[in-house]
Amino acid sequence: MPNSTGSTSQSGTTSRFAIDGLHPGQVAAPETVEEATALLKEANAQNWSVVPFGSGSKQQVGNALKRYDIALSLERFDRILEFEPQDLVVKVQSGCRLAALQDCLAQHGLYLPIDPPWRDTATMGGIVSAHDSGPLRFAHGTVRDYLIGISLIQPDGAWTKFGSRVVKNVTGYDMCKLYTGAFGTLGVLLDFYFKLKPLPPFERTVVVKMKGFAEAAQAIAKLSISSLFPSAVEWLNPAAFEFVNRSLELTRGEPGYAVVVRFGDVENSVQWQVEQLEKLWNGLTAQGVIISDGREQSLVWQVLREDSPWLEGGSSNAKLKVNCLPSHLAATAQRLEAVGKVLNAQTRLKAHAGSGIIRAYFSFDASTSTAERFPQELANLRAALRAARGTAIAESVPASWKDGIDVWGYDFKDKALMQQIRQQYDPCRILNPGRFVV
Amino acid sequence: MSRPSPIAASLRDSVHRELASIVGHEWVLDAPDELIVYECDGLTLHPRMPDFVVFPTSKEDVVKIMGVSQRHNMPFLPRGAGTCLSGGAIAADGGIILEFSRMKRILDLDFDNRVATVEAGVVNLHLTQAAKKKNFYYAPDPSSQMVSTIGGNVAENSGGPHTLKYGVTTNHVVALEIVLPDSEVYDIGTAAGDFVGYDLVGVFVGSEGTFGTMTKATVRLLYSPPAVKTLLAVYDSVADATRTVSGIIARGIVPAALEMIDRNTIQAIEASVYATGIPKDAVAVLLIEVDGLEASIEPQMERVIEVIQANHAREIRIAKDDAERKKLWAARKNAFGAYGRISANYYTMDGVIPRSKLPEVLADIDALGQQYGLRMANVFHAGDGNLHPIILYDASQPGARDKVVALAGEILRRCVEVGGALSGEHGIGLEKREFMTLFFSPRELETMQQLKSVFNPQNLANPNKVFPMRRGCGEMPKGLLDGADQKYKEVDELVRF
Ligand SMILES: Cc1cc2nc3c(=O)[nH]c(=O)nc-3n(C[C@H](O)[C@H](O)[C@H](O)COP(=O)(O)OP(=O)(O)OC[C@H]3O[C@@H](n4cnc5c(N)ncnc54)[C@H](O)[C@@H]3O)c2cc1C
Repeated sequence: MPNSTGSTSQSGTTSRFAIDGLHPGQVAAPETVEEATALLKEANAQNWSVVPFGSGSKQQVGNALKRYDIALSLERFDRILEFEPQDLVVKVQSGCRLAALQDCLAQHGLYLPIDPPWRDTATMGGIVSAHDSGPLRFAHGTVRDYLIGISLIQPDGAWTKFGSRVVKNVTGYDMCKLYTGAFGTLGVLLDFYFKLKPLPPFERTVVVKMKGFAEAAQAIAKLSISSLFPSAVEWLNPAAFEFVNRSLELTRGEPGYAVVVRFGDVENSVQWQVEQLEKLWNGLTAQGVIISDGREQSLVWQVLREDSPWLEGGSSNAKLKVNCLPSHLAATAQRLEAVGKVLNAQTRLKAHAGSGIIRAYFSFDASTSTAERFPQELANLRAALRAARGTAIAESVPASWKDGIDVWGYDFKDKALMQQIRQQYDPCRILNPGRFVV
Repeated sequence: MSRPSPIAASLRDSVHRELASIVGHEWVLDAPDELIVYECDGLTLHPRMPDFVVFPTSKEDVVKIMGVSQRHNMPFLPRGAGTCLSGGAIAADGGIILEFSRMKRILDLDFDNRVATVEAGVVNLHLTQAAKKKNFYYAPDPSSQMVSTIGGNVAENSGGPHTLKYGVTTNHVVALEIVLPDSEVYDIGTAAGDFVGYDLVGVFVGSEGTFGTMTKATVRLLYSPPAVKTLLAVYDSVADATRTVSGIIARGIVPAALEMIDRNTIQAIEASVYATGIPKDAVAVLLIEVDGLEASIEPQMERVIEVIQANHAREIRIAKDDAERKKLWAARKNAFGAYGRISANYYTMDGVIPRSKLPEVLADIDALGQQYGLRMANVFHAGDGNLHPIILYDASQPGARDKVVALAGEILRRCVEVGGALSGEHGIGLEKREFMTLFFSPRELETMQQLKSVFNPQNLANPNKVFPMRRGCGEMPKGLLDGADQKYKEVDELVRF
């Protein structure tokens, strides 16, 4: 086992850093680049495996780690290093939490227009590495679209920087993209430059229960070729809507398929769009509410954005992130509901409708469910999605299931290129071994 | 290392035969008088003729052409319209140019999914024109969009005036079909939700033809904003104009476009067919566009105008109708072409700085121009901090070229000093490869080359681009094209199309 490198702390418990029940041999929380660099050099020389660690909110995502010698906590890299409000650019360290960053930016009327789950705990390093996103991606894209500069420690300890604080840059290859979504397998990300946007001056949220499944699908299709510019469009199945309603009591009566739309712009424009939406969806809706209270709106979006509350309820729970063509959303959702029936699981579906991303939450009741059929159902689903290059990621499953499934299920030809990239940068596989591109 | 050229006759014959068997004789060029057209792209400082130009019609053709390149260890490069301004489309090491003018089909306009799938040779503007029937468009709009291709745009990660609000090419490409130099075809990325694994599309975009050939792209389409307002603000001082730019951004207003045109450019435009009646004695003009819903335009305009007035604009002119708006944009987008009227030669640069540094850097550039005794013009994407200083010169004057190159080097250095970068949108190519050491450490350059080696391990795809040729890192390059292995050649017009 590694002995002390950098400012290594063995005092604290390692349980906070456990992944799928596996504890690290040691936890290191370097404070300086030099310490982090030394740690990686040593790890590489000794062939210790290293897991860069933010808040841990997404550490359960991925295949089982092969070995886990060091948890490299970035908790001490938590500062905002430069903030140029007049340039709409910020430089922030990877251990800084999104909430802290947004709070600071908001004081200047700015924000990083992303809203991934775990807003209050997730660190910027984790969000970039997981390429995580939320409802706002409909209008604003993902963190990939805002990352303009990065510094990282390579697996062998070299500190390298790419991009810079300018908003448009083609000096060399676009390395920021390589590290976005790489799940900590290509380097330890230290800090980032992000471009920012002004906060919308006025917002409204429209929650609509549709007459039925077909009407909900039609509503989405109509909206996506309309002249309205919503910032988010979320689709919910009845079980999911019931879950949202349970805490917020938005509509009465039977739960149904629902669509939640967010508008953000100057007041005139938002009011006009809300009116237009009513006309556009005339005949499709069963019940609708327009939420204007700021606090209430943020509660709605919090529930829609977050992940963890949705993973409760059963004796075991699983979550799939399903990527499909937006036009296949309804059919894919139907398929997922059928999967839930086969598994005897309660199935809540929420989707970033315009982006073709469905988050499916299955709760299993030990006495009645047939969870053992999960691997086969997942395989069938993947086969169905494949033709349109869709995928299904088992983002959250009980650790014991990971033996029987491949969490990513990605077997397109270009996987070979990804493996070669991994080989180039981390030939000893010291970073997150086994978890992602192996 | 330059390959001997012309290549041996026997090699020429066998390569010609093999290429002709793929695409037919008439689609293989190898006579010098045919090849001369391909000796440079938008950068004419550094000409080199390819040995062959071949016109594939399909991915299968490209695969077979890769086989020829492999068998003879002959470099190749894909080429779209040849408007690249950094020498990316020049066959620096001879070899085969694949020209994509026969692969320009729009394969699918999928409005339900808001994407289009096109072949590499589709002209940027043609895609927007095709999408217009349903009120959609393709957002990245390089000024060369009338001719430049999606293949070239993807390779260069091109921007344009409207990328201030809508992002550059990489923000709009979701999937690609690529053929690597070893003839393997890969689909990368997806239109179905998020990509899984590494972002291969993200790294391919902007790889300047050095990873391999893109044959097909799936790109996002956006719904056209229903309302657009365009205005010109006329200034008596550059400082006032730049302060307006920073002022608008600092207030959190992101217009659709925020372009600056300086005095020399105004004079060139007003002397050309694109004249729009901008006062000729104006020192600087801002072209500002806001777009969105009818209801959001007025409030945006009001705030923009406040900033303009606070910064002493002498005149604000709002385009009355679409015709007038188009005229303003035509002037802007054809500005480069207009320089021919006011100068024998000109050299278009590209550098990028934090937008708040505009006032100081523009002043510095002005001072540098005077120091070198060279006239400069500037027409650029001010809102992005993306400068295009244009150096006007007369190549027939002895020593003029060296002065231009030295001045350009100083300007780039200044951009990097203030936290900027070497290129905002035109790429590194041949032009700036020796400057890469100003921005990257040896290890960082190596890291990028490792990535290249995954796609292009034998370095057959567009060799000698992007990375410095000189050994001994840490040495300061003296000027652009320093370290180049070709002799300069005088060419009258820098932009040809
Ligand atoms: C007047 C003028 C105005 C311009 N304005 C702008 C502007 O506003 N913004 C901007 O960003 N640029 C601008 N440019 C630069 C240029 O137009 C862009 O870089 C454009 O994207 C090049 O496209 P092209 O089809 O001409 O590509 P080419 O010049 O033919 O090629 C450019 C590079 O792309 C590679 N390439 C081409 N096709 C493929 C393919 N199928 N697969 C892989 N690689 C390929 C080539 O190898 C080469 O390295 C301008 C140029 C001119 C002359």
